[in-house]
Amino acid sequence: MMSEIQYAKSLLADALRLDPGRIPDDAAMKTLRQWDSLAHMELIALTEEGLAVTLTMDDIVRMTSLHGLVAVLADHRKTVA
Amino acid sequence: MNLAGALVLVTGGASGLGLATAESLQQAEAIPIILDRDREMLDAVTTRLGCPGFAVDLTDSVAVDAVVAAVCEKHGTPLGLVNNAGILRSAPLLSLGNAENPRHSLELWNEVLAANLTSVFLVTRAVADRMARRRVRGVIVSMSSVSAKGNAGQTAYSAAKAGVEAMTRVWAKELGPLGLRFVAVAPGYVDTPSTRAAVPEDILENLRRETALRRLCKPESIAATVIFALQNDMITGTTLSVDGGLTM
Repeated sequence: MMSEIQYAKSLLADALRLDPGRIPDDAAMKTLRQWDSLAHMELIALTEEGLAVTLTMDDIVRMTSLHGLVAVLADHRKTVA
Repeated sequence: MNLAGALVLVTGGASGLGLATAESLQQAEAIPIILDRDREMLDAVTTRLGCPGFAVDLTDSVAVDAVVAAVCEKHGTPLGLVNNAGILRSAPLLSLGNAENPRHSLELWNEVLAANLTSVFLVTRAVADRMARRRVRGVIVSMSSVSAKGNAGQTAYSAAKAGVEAMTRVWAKELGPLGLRFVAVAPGYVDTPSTRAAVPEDILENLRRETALRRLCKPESIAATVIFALQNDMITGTTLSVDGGLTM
């Protein structure tokens, strides 16, 4: 089964149109050139589709790093569970 | 969008096409909120329709942000926005027979671009920001015109309306992932007092003959298209022509 960080990397890779292997563990909007505002919109849409939820503005701001995205995914899974 | 009870901002809603749109929204059980720079007309219309209204200069960035904040605070985040306000001014690039003013004035260019393009940018920026932050899957409909294809004698107006159509496509791409939709509506010549005041009768008659349906548009037909664009959840990033076949 895919771990939360693997799933987060797969979402991010999909949004950035990169190979998941090219997403470093410390990936963040500030440091990853491809992760711009438009790619972030794509990430929001993919995350919402994947979790079948509507993210809050707080989620959207938190998920500007891979670690933040993992935390948002975990929070929503708890809510669903 | 389900229009029943939905808040929909209508710019320039105190007269003409904007008023027809506000009335159609009300008939569809939506709640139009009218923004208009003419306070006197605004007061008369909002009293008659029993809907909220705010007087504002839509070319003033600070005033636009303030009025959108006031609307959201008092009524909540709108589900829809209809960018209808604008002005129609015509002038050729060169008037070689006019010795004193042979060239299209920069002042007129700036006035027309501010009223028809900058205002759409400012209001949409403010409203879309609210919609995105509140995760409202809103709809923004902007009035273009047959002039977007390039009408002789309308350099500034045509440029502004082509710009509105381009912004509609850009915003649809940028904010589609958040569920926001953007649609432009391009009317032909609409049979209103302002059209009759701006366009001589012989030219209107020629336009009527060039139109496949041999008649000018009615404001109600344009308003019905706006309602359709608000309601149909798969339309975005496009321009709906409502011109009786004038531009086909």
